[in-house]
Formats: sequence, C-alpha cells, structure tokens
Amino acid sequence: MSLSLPKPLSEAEPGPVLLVDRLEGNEKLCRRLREVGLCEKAEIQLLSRGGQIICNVCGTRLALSHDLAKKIWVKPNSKK
Amino acid sequence: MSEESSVQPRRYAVVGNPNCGKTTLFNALTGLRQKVGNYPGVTVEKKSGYFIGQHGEKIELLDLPGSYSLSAHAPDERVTRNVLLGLRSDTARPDRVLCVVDASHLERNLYFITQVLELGLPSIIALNMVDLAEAGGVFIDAKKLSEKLGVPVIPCQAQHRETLLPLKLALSRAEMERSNWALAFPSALMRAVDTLAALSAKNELLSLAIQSDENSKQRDPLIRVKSMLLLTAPDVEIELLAAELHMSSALGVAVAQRVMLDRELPTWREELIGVRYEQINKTCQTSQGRSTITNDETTHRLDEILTHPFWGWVGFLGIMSLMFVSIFVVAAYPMEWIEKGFDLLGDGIKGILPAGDLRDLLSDGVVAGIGGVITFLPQILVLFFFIGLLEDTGYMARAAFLMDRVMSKVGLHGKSFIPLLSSYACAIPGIMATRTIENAKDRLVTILVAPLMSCSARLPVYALMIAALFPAGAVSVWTKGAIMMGLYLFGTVAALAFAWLFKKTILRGETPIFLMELPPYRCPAIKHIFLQMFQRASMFLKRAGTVILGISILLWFLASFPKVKTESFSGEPDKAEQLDQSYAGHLGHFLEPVIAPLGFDWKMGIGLVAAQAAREVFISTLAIIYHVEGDEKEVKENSSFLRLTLLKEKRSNGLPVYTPLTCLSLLVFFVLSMQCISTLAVVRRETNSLRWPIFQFCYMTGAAYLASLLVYQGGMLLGFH
Repeated sequence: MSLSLPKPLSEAEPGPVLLVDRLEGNEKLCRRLREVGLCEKAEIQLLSRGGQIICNVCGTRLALSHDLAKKIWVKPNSKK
Repeated sequence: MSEESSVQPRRYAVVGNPNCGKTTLFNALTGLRQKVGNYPGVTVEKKSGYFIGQHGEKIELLDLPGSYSLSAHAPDERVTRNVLLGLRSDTARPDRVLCVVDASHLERNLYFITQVLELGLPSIIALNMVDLAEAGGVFIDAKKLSEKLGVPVIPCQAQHRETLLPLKLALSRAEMERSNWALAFPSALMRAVDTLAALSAKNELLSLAIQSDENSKQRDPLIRVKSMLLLTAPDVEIELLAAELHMSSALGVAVAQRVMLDRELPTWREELIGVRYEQINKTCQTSQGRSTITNDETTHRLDEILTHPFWGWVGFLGIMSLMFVSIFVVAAYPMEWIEKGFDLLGDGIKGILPAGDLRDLLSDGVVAGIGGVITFLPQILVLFFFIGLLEDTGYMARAAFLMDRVMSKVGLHGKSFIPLLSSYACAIPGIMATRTIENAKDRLVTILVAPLMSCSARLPVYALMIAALFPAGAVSVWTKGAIMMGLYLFGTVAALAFAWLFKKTILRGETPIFLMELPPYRCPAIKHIFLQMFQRASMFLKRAGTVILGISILLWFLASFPKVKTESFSGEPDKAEQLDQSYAGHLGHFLEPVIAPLGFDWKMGIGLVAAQAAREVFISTLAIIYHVEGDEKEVKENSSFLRLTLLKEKRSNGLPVYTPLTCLSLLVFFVLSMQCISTLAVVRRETNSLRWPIFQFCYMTGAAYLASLLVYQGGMLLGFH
C-alpha cells in the first residue's frame, strides 16, 4: 500500500495509472465528469500536462483544462 | 411478395458515440452520399436512407447525431435522446436500433450503448473498426460480448463494404432479440426507480395520449429509462426535463425520492454511473483480450508534438499558412482556364446571335455574371479539400484543443473553434456545427460571430480587390497569400473581439469547462474527402445557377433599362450615359451620399446592394456593370478584363476610382459586413427567433461601415489616396 495522499490531477505526474479518488464541483459538473468515465474509483493515466491536460480514460484520450483538472482528485493505483 | 415485411419497412435508428464511424457505416449501407467527418458535430442533420434486405424487403435507417449519453448535454444529443424515447412529434419512434461501436474504444462506447439497450427495443450491435482494434492489440470475442449484452454483435469495417454482408443479413432478420442487459443497482436506488416508474406507468395509462398498440414489453423499459433520467437530472434542470419527458405529474415524487436517496445512500449519484462502468468493465474483460487501458502509440507520438505548448502552435500556424498559400498557388492554373473558357463562350454568343437585347442579355448578363463567380471555384475547392482533410485525420480536435487557450480568454469553449473554422468555408455548416456546444449562451455567441470568419463567398471579392491593388507581376504570389491571410486574420480577430464583448454584456456567463475527446489520428479516406468537396462544390454551383443567375439577369435589366434616347456619333447609345440613366444607376446615385465617406462611388453602391443577397454577387455585378459599359473590342482582347477595367475607372474629377485606399476600405467592409440571406435564414432557424438574425445583421453592417469609414477617412488624413 502506498502512503501517498490524494492530490489534484493538475499536480499529478504523467505516466503511472492512477485512480480517481473524489470529484469537486457542482452536481452537474460531477455527473458530466462521471459520464465520460471519470467516476470515483476509475483508472486514469495522465499523458501530458501543458497549459491543458491530456489523459487516458477508458482507452480514450480526453483533453481538459487546468482548472477542471484541479477538481479531480487522484491517488496512486494500489490495486496493482 | 406475400410477406408482411415487404409491406411495412423496418425502421432502424443508427446510434453511437461521435467518431465511432457511424456515418461511414450509414453511407456504406444506404449508398446515400453524405458528409463524413472525424470531429464532433458533423452529423447534426436528420438523415435517413434505406437499403433492400436479403429477402427484398425495404430496410430504413435513421442516422441519429452521435451521443455520449442519454443524459444529453448538447442540443444534438437531445435530438438523439428524444427520437429514441419517442418524444419528437416530427419523427416516429424507430422500431429497432442499430448500435455502432468503435471496437478500439469498447468501454467508452458501451456507456451510451448499454443505456440504449435498456430501452428495450430490438437491437443489433455493429462492432466497427475491428481491424484498427486488432492492430492496436485489442481482440474482441464477439460471441462472448453478444452473450453478455443479449443482442447480436457483428464485427465489421464500415470502410470496407465487403465486410458488411453479415451485418446486412442480421439487419434483414424478421425476428430480433431485445437485450436482457440490466444494471445491478444498490437496493435503495432500485426501489426509487421502481417507485417512480410505477407511478409514471399509472399516469400514462390514465392519460389519453397513450398509444394503444404499444405493448408492455416496449412500454415498461421505456418508462424505467425515463424515470432514471428524471431521477438523476441536476437540480437546476429537473423541472425542464420533466416537462420534456412528459413526466411533470411525477415531478413531486421524483424530488421526494431524491431526498430519500440522499438520506439512505448519500453516494447514489456516483453509484448510478459507477455501477454502469463497473459492469461494462467486467463485460469488456471477459470478451476482450487485453487490459482496458490501451494506448495508440502513433496517436500518442503525434500528439506529443501537435498538442505541445510551443511546437503545437508552430504546427498549427504551418498548416494554416499552407492552406492559404495553396488556395493561391494550386488554384491559379484552373482559374485561368475557366476565365478563358467563359471569354470564348461570350465571344461565341456574340458571333452567333444578331445584335439586340437577347444577345446582350446572354453575353453581358448571363455569361459575364456567372463566369465571374465560377472562376473562383478552384480556390473554393482547395479550401474545402483542406477542411475535409483536417476533419478526416482527426486534427480538427487538436486545433480546438490548442485554440481553447485563446477561446477561453474571450469566454468561449475550445469547441467553438470548430464551427468558426468551418465558417471559413461557409457560415451555414459552421452555424449548424454549433449544435455540439452545450451551453446555450455560448452557442448563441458562436452563432453571432461565425459569419465574421471569412467564408468562401468573400474569397472572390478578396481575390479581385487584391488583384486590383497590385497589377499583375507587381508582387509575388506569396505576398498576395500573406495579404489574404491577413484578411482572414482580421475577420478572426473581429469574431473573437465581438465574442468577448457579447460574453461581457448581452450574453453574460462563465467560461465553460473544457472537456473534450481527442479521437485517434486516422489515415484520411481520400475518397470521402473528394466526395465532400464534390458535394460542397455542387452546392456552390447550384447557388451560381439559381440565386446568382437570377440576380445577374435582374441586374442586367436594371443596368440596361430604361434605354437612353440620345445617340452618340457612332449611332450607338453612349454606354456610360446608359448606365448612369438606368434604374441601377438611379439606385447607385441614391446611395452615393451614404457610402461616399467610405470611398465608394455609385457603381460600387449597385454592387453592394446586390451583394446583400450573397457576397459573391458583388463580382458578377461589377462584371455586368462594366460589360454593359465597356468597349467590345477591349472585352475581346483582354482575358482579365474586369481587373483592368477596374484599374482604368476614373471619378468625375479624373482621379482613379480603385485607389489602394478604396480597395482597402472595400476589403474591410467585406470582412465585417453581413451580406448573406441564406446565413440569416439559418440563424433564424437555429435561434428560433427573428431577434437574433436582425441583431446580427445590424451589428455586423454597423461595424463594417464604421471600420471602413475609419480606414478611408484615416487614410486620407494621413495623405493616402
């Protein structure tokens, strides 16, 4: 078990597979994020982090803004 | 045929995520020629077609807009949902569903598809792009997947027609399964859905609106899906949704159930979606030979460059520059041929027909008017080719990604860039592509500014004015290309500036969240791109053949009548005198005081009035005006007659009319002004009000007038002519 604490996706490192821990934001935004596959416990892989963020969710490349990435809290994948 | 099936055609709805190859499959099955694209928002029209099944029966297909979820975030997704739920009065609910799934993105695709399966309609799943999936190391066991989902799963490759036979056979079957797919929700959630569904079923039975032929097999799942949608709607939307689903009478119960759920199962909102993904994940793992996280190496490598904060922009500007320079270099040769062809045609007519009004009408009105516009067809084709290429390769989404940083500065979503880029070709498809924008205000802002992007109809005007600015050979094609790009840039900056202004004032709202899928890069199907080019070009030619032909004839009439009585020494009426005294001349003179401060004379006034219908008419108008006026010998000797005539035009004080400053002022006017009846009609339809098109017309024309005034008067003050 890793001791790393959850942190926003905007601060995560590209590469390893992460798990979504929790989402911040209003009901509408959360439903939106969950529907694209960013629901709690989902696997996510950060691919690149420039001005915006590209990540891999459910085998698709998703692009999202930095502000949005701050609302997605991730933790290391302890399952593996 | 005695079979019942031949009497009543089967109606399939074709559904799937954006980018799953749905439209390609639809085209391959129906043979209906349509536009195919790789970015969200291409399939927004209602498209239907049919093919003849294996037993000679007619099988109808309705291509629904690509969707990610039945929750329907954008207007086009709402169309899909409402058709599937039978809520649209203009479209009957389909009897069956053909679900198209991108095999390389199975998990993501199944989120929406399982929602559709739960509707209880007989369904078939077309497992598309199996070749791409296998190349990426994903092997899907269609049989196992079919067992899990309870409906036939048929592998195919929409791009290769020969792989479609099994699918056609399956679609032709008389009897079809309904899916037994069901979600295992926590009991509290299940109870809430059951309670709401039971109540709605009762309400519906009581109401007169219920269709008697709907059996419970179809009705019950439908009501359950509707109940689930209502239950999960965000607070701010629930009332509206209840009305849309015809479930207003159940609203109270839905709200009560939500309160109860919040108490009993605080995480119910995430469970509702999480359970679906978990179950899909299990399904995928048993039927798929690889982990769910897959990476397309090529796409990843390309994206490292093309979405890079620095190199991405270099690539973007490079592609855009290449596009605009090509418009000039590649298109120059065919343009010359077309120009020569029309000159020969005009001469031919003059040779065959005896002198008179008919001959003048044909050679000066019809041939000159239409020829002036068709000359620009090659440039328009090149532009359409590039836009098709960008759509087909998947680059368009990257352009939106890069542009989001700019767009978010003016309060818009990166996705708004896609309609704006399409508007470079034509504002009409651009405005239609705004249907994927989720927020209504952002969508309206995008619609309002889209016509500021320089469309292909402006291209002829730009080209002619640039040619008039610089006589042949004075500057290189590259300089002309750069000026052209500058004009496009000016329009783009104006569009962004107005978007910012509108977001700050009349359509105030927060900058939307940026979240979009980047489809994998794909090798473009040249066949499809050429097909699109051909379709768009024929639309352009149709306009040339109808609107422009009509206006050309009308203008010729206005410029040629009433006939001047006074005759010159040669026995022919003086041509300049004739135009001056004609109806068109009167109109131009009437307008002259208004447009004189912009540096325009009365002849340009005639052109501007005519161009209110469609911008490119300006060229044909000038062609007609100067043909009517010009010396026939000159017409014969010079192929680029119009350009030269413009340069020779003199004002009453002897100074040339088309000075660089006037050309510039005219260019600025055309960049900003709203001169397109078709666009206004589309805006009226899309915004469902007259207010917005009127507003759009006023603000754009006003801005054009002011900007031209500034350019001309400012230029004069600085000592330019």
